[in-house]
Amino acid sequence: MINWIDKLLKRTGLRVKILVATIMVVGVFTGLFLYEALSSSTERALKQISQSNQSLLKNTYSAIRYPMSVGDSKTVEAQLKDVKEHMEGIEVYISDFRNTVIYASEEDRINTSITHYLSEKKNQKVLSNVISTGLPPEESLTETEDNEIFMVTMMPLLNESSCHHCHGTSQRILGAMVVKHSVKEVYASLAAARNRLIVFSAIEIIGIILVINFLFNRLVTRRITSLAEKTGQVSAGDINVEIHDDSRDSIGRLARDFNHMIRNIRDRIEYANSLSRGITDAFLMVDPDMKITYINDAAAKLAGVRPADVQGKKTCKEVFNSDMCRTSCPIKRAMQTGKVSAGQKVTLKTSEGKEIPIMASGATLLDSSGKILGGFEIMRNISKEVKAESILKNSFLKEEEKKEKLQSRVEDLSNILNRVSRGDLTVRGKISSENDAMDQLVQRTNETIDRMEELIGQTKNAALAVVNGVRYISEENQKLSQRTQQQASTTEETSGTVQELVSGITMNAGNTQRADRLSKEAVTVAAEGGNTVKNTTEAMNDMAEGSRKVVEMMDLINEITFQTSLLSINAAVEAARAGEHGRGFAVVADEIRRLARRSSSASKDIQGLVQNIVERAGTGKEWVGQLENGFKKIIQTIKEASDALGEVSSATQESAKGVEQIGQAMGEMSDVVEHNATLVDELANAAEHLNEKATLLQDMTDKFILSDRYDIEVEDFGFKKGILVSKNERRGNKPLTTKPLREELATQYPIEEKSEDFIGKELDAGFEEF
Amino acid sequence: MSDAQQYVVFLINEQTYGIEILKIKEVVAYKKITPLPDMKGFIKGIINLRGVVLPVFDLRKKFNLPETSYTPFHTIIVMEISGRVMGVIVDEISDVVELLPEEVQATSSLPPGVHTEYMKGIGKKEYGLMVLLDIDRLLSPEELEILDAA
Repeated sequence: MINWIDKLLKRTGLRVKILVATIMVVGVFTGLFLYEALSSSTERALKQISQSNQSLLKNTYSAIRYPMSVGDSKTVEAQLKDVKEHMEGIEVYISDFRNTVIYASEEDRINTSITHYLSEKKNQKVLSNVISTGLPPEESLTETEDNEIFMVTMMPLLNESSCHHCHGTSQRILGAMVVKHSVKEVYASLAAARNRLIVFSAIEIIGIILVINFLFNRLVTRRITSLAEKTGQVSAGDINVEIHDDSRDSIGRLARDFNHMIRNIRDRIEYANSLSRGITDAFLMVDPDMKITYINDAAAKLAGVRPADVQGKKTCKEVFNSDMCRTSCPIKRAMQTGKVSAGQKVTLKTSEGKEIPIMASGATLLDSSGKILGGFEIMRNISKEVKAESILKNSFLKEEEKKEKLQSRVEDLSNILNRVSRGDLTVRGKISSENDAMDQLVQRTNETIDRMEELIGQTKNAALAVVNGVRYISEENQKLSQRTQQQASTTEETSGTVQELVSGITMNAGNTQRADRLSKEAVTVAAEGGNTVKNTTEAMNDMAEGSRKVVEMMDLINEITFQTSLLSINAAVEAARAGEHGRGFAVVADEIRRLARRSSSASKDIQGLVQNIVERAGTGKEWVGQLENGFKKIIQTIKEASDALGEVSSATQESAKGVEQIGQAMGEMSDVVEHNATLVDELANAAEHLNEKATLLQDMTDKFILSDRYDIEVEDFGFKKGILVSKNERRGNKPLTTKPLREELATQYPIEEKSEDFIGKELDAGFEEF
Repeated sequence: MSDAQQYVVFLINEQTYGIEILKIKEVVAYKKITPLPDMKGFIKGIINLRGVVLPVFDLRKKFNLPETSYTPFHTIIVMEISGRVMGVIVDEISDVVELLPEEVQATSSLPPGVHTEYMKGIGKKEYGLMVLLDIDRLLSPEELEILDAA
C-alpha cells in the first residue's frame, strides 16, 4: 500500500501533488470550519430557541399564574389562546401531575393526555421526572412529530402558597407546563444558512485552490518546469540554453545559478572546443565504440572525407582503413593501458592508396568518475618532416659521398703527384665528368705531367745523345790514346832503328826499308789519328748541338715550372679563401708547389750540367782542333822524318853526326809524341769527365719513368768502327826487324836538308799550346 | 694551427717580402703592360686580365729600388688594395708559407730607425727573414686618387 502510494507520488507531477495536497488541506480545514460553524450556529439557534422557550414559559407562567391562583380559567385560556394567535408554531400545555392537559393553547387538546403530544418516550420520561422531582430538565428537548421538529421546554408547577387554597398542600407538585416550539423554520433557516455556507465554502475552496494553483503554477511549477526542460536540454547535450528569471526568490537564484552553471559549462566546452579547434594537426575524437564524434578538417582531409559525413556515423576504422587501425591504434592502446600513447610513427594509407607518414598520439577521454567516454587522436602529418629528413639524409649522404669522392680524388691526385715526385711520369689523374675545380686541377696536373714527360723525354733523348756522343768521344779518345801510344812506341822504335842505324854505321837496306815502312805506317796511323780527331770534332759538334737543344728544353721546362708554380700559388690562394674546406686542396697545392720547386731546382741543376757539358765540349773541340793540327804536323814531321831518314840513309856514311842528330831529333819527336799521348790522355780524362756528367744527366733523367712513346732513339753518330788495329796486328806479329832503312829511304823519299833548329821550331809551334 | 696565417712570399731585388694570402686574388705571369699616356710615378700601365683591365705598378719604384727589365718569369700579383683590384709586379714568387703568431715580429717591436711605413711586421723563419707588407697602406691617398683617375 505504502509502496503503491510511493509509486503514485513518484509518478504524479508536482503540480498534481501540490493540487491534491492543497485540495486535501483546504478541504479538511474548510470541512472542520464548516462543521464548527454549522454546529455552533445550530447550537446557538437551539439555545436561543430554548431560551426563548424558557422566557416564553416563564412569561406564560407569570401571565397565567395570577389568573390560575384566583381560579380565573377564562383568563388563562384567553392568555393561551392569545399565545396561539400571536405566536405561531408555539404550543403551550399545562398538565396536572396525572399528565392530563388542563390548559392548552389548542383548546381541543384540553383534557387529553399530554403524552399524545409528547410522543417520544424520552420526553415523557423527562416530564414524569420533572413532575416527580419538581426540577426543570437540565437539557433542552426535541420532539419530532409528523416530520416536524419541536423544541420542548418544561417546567414544574410547584404547589405554591397561592395555590394552596385550591389544591391543598398535599401535593408538592401540581403539574407541569410544557411549551412546544416548532423549530421547523429555524431548522429551515439553519439549513439554508448551512447550504449557503457550504456553497460559499465550496466556492471559496475552489477559489483558494485556483488561486494557489495559479500562483503555484505561476511562481513555481512553470519556472521549475522550464528549469527542468532546460536541464533536460542540457542533459540531452544542448547547452545553448538560458533561463530568463530575474526574481529574487530561491527559484530565481536557482535559475541564475543554473545560467551561471551553463555558462561555466559552455565556457568549458568552448574551452575544450577551442582546444580541439586550435589543433591544426589532424584531430579526431571517438566514443568507446570507436565511432567518430568529432573530426577536424585536417583529419578529414587526411582521410579524404567530409567531417559531416563521418561524425557520429562511421567508426575510426571505417574512415582510416589503415594497417595502423589493426595493429597500432593509439586510442585503443591508450584505452587498454590507460596511459597516453604519444609520438607513435605510423604510416597511414589513404583511400587513394597514398601512404602518408604520420606521428600519431592518442589518449582517452574520461568522465569525472573515471569512466572511459572515448578517446582522441592527434595525427601529425610528418610527410614533410620525413621528406625533409630524407632530403637531409640524402643530402648528407651525398655530401659525405662527395666529400669521400673528393677525398679519394685528392688522395688519388696526391698519390699521382707522389709517384710523379718519385719520377714516375706515366701516371695520369682520372678526370670525372663533373668538370669541377678538382677536374680542372687534375686536368692541369695531367697537362703539367704531360709537358714534363714530353720535356724530360726529350731531355732524356738529348742527354742520351750527349752521353752516347761523349762515350763515343771517350772511346775514340781512348783509341786515339792507344794510337798515340802506338805512335810513340813506333817513334821509339824508329828512334831505336835510328839508334841502330847510328850504332850500326853500316847501313842496312832492310833496316832503312823497315824504317821507311815504319815511317809510312806512322804516316797512316797519324792519318787515322787525324780522322779520328775529325770524327771527335764532329761528335763534339753533335754534343754541342745536343746541349743547345737541352738548353732550349730547359727553357721550356723552366717556363712550365714557372707556370706550375703560379698555378700552385693560385691554388693555394683559392684554398686559403675556401678556408677549412680548402685544406685538402691547399695540401695538393703545396704538393704541386713543392714539385714545381723541385722541378725548378732539378732544371737548374740540369742547366748547370749542360752548361758544363757545353763548356767542356767547347774546350774539347778546341783541344781536338789543336790535336788535328798536331796530327797534321805529326804527319808532316813523320814525312819529314822519312825524308830525313832518306837523308840519313844517304848521308849515313857521310855523317854519323847527322844520324846522331836524327836520332836526337827522333828522341825529341818521341818526347813530343809522348807529350802528345799525355795530352790525349788528358783529353780522354776530360771526355771521361764529360761522360760522367752526361751519365749523371742520364741517371737523373732515368729517374723519371716515362711512357712507351718516349722510347729513346739513339742518334747514330756515324762513327766507323774497327779502324783501329793493335800494334802487334799492325806489325803483323812480326818481331822488330833491324833491316837497314837507308836504301829504301834513299830511293823513295828525297831527303831535304832541314836544320835541327827548324824541326825544333816547328815542334814548338805545333805543340807548345798543349 | 688556426692562428697560423698564410703568406705568399716573393722576391724583389733579392729581398723577401710576404703578403697575406687572403689579400691576393691570383698570380699571373708577366704579360705585356700597356703604358698609358702621362702615367705618373710608380704606375706602369694597364693589363687585360681575362677581359678585366687592371692598373699595374712596380714595387721597385715604390721602394726606390733600381729598375729592371721584365722577363716572362716576372710575376704579377693581382690583389685588392684599399678596395681596388690591381696588379703588382714582383721578381719572383718563391713560396706560400704559414707563419705562427710567434713567428711574426710586429713593427712596433722593431729597432728604432727602421722604416716601417708599409710594413706589417717581420716574418721569421729558420731560413731567413721576410718583410710582411701591409698592402692597404702601400698606397697613399694621392696615389689612390691617381689610380682612380687612371
